[in-house]
Amino acid sequence: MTKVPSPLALLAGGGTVTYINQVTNPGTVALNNVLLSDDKCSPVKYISGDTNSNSKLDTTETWFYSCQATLTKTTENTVTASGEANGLTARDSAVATVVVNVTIPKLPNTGLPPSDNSIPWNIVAPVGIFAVLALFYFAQRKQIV
Amino acid sequence: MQSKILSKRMLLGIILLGFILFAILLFNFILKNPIQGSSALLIENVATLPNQEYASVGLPVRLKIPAIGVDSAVISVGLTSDGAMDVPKDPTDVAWFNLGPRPGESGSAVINGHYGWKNNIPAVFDNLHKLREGERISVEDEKGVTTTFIVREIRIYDKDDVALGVFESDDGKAHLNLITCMGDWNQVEKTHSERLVILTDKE
Repeated sequence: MTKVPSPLALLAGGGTVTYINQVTNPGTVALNNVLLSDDKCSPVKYISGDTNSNSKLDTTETWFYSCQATLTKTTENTVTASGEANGLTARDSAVATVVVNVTIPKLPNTGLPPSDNSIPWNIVAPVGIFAVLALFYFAQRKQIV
Repeated sequence: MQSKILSKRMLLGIILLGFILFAILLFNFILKNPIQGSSALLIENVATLPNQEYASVGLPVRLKIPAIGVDSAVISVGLTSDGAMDVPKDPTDVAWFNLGPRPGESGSAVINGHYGWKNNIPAVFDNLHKLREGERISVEDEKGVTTTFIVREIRIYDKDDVALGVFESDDGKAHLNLITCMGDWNQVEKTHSERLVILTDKE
């Protein structure tokens, strides 16, 4: 199984994290009574994946579960999945860590100088170069004459 | 003979003048167009999940503020190398802070946009200061779902202020905060002196 948090990091003060848990059956027999439990997030809700709606985790299926938690500090949590087949219980687990930062971002720099930028340099620069070259040409021509 | 030497000197002077003029123009051009050069992205698309369709709110793609005629594409940004929220490269785009919640999720989502641009090209948040309390802002996500926010408060921060209450909230509700520059231009630090912050609540 896999466990993916969103977002992977939170700002100072924390916030809400959504964990997406993905369960597959690598065996050869479909599993009954598939249950998921998370040590720091509840409830773990089934979303989708039982394509033939037989309530069994078939070997070709991937079941998705989600869980939301509010975190205020860096948290590592573990989700455990279990399923039964032929009197045996199969288990697997996955761990995810969400980092809560301790600093608040600085305010962005979203401006440019209003007046300094009124000169269209993309026009002025080529015109200037052309003027210099023209001067050079006429000066040379005058010299020859 | 003397006039020929004089003419050669004149020619040399013109060429030299040309080089100086070209160097000045080039220098000015480089100086005036750094825009985002110093704001290297450290983190981008951190919140991207392999199974995004299961996230409760989609990634924001469009910001609309009818009161000031804004209808812009939303790009995703993280932090710059100096720890500030990054900004969009295009003056007509806005940027969503991808280390925080998505607009509509619990917490404070943050979007910024430019104010003032080179060559008198309009920037997306040139008229953000005209927004008033009670006016509406909407964000469309990648799934086509529109979430509407109502302006609650307008704040002005100094550019170096700690942005308390902008990037975080603890009331469990969904907020969207908009940021742009305002105030005097500081030629030395290449930035405006203040930041305009529009605080909103989900409708």
